[in-house]
Amino acid sequence: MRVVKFVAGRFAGMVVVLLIVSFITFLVFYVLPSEPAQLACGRPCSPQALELAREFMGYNVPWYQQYFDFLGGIFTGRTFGSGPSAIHCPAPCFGYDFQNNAEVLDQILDRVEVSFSVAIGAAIIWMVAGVGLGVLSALKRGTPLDRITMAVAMAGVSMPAYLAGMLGITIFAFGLDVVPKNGYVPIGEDVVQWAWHLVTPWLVLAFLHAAIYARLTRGQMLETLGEDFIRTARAKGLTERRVVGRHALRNVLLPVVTVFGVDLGLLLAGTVITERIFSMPGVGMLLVDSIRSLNLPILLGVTLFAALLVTVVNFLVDLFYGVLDPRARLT
Amino acid sequence: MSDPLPLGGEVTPGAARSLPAALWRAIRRDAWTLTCAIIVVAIVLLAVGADLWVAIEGQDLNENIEALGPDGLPAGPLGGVSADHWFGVQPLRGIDLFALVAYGARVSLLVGLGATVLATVLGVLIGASAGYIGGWWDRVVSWASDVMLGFPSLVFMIALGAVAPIEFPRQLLLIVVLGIFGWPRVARIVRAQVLSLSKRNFVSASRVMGGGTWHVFTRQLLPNLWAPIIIVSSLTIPSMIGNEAALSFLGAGVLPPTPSWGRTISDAIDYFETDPMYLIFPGLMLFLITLAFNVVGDSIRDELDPKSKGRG
Repeated sequence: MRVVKFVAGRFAGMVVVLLIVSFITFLVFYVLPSEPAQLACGRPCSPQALELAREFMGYNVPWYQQYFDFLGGIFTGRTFGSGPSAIHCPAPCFGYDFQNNAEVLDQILDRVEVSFSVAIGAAIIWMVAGVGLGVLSALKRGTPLDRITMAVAMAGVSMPAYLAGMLGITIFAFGLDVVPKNGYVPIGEDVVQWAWHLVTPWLVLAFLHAAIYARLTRGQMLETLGEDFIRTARAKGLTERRVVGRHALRNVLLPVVTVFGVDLGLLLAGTVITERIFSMPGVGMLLVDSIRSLNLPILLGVTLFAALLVTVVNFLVDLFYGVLDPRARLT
Repeated sequence: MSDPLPLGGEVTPGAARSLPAALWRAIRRDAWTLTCAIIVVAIVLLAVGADLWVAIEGQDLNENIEALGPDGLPAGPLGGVSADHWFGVQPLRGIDLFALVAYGARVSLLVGLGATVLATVLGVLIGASAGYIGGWWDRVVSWASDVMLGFPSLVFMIALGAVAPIEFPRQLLLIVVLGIFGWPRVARIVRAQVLSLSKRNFVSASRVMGGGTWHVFTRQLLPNLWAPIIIVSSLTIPSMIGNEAALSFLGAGVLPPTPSWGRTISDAIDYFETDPMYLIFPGLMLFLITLAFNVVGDSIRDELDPKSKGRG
């Protein structure tokens, strides 16, 4: 019963967060003096034609009405315009991209595979490498291994993603000439080529994140190893391996998993910079392209999509937290 | 801790009390911190005196195609590095790269520091009031900072940069937006600190003796909050600088013609194969300032918070 309440509470929180994010995003984008209808109106744009375009797109009603129309579209779908030229956007409708005559959701879903491929691959590498190196560093505190790891981690934390990306391309693609410079091959087409094209972005993203995780893990591990329950575990005669692996690591992973949730959620929603550097047509690229063309429905759609992923991943992390730490189930 | 007592007669000194003291100790303790502190000072001087340095170099931000070779790339080796052009010139347009980097430093530091100050002030006020007043306000603050931390801030800022009116000064917009997204991190730390402080006797005593909320906050709490505030804000600066550069890199930050490291780097990527120096100078500067601030911030934390010593 307690578990059900815990899950339900977190789920309700997630929905509320999403509503707020959508509201703020909508408010900011539609209250700012931008005129999406102007772009669709064509040139020369007569006032009548502009009015027609606004009416067709649903921008002629007050902003709060637009917001409710938008929310309603998610559940029931929306129809823009009327008569033979009407465009129907079936539920769940996250808006319609009038520039490319496509549903926003379809545009995003078309590109999700790329962003997910980049993010998940990198996340696996950085979790293993970051946590592993962090634990190792903490156990060998003060040795050259610890110092070198922490120096490299410091460089990784301080390095902007695009510099690391360029460095990665220079070393692996230009210098060693072993991997492709950019581009993406769908996983359904050729798994080997898929992975081969992704190796550099994975390593670059993983390096940047592993640096943060190694530092976090090391600090947390050092603190945990000083706790009383570790002394108790040692006093019970457990092997060092069991003390570190079972007792300490469980405690160390709590904050790491929290950070991981936020990072993974954001990356799944499009690795904006990585995709730009490696020319990968993911959700991040869609966002950057839509900035250039001032494609408001896409901007709104991608922001909401990102918020959805962040909150969903956070929700899952909260649940996992409950599994990892019995104390969390009580609150 | 598992460490044995220090045997060599070396006794770990207590925590430093103030920022200058912490900085001084950190610099004396370790040459690496000293190097990084010097880098920070050098780049700050570069930014503050940008006009002077560029005047000494004898260049400006104007196009100068005479510095280019027939192929549109900089004339001379290493991207046109010479006595006239210290960092070489930009391909195609021949703008002096040192001038771009020096004025870009100004934008980066201005936005980075401005956003950090805003985030810190907001975070301290909100976090301290939440911890001190408690009740519904505390719940609102905790919940609001949860929402903010779960907000896809980079995506949102990119989108906002695209739709914000051009008349609105971009540096100010960046400071405000980065500051607003930055306060929850500060507020969380300050709130926790205030919660534990306000249970202490000296705070109760001050209240019993008739000290008002403002008095208790400024005279009793704030002096004890400096250490965590300094720690969190010194580590916020590099992340803010990085955010500004990332936004400018993506075309959602500072607008042309104002120079910005992020945008220069973004332009330079297209020339990476033909003129790598164009990317290396601004890229190296951005890396160095971030690294230096991180290292100095880490050392300050070690000095102010003895618990964290050697935690890296």
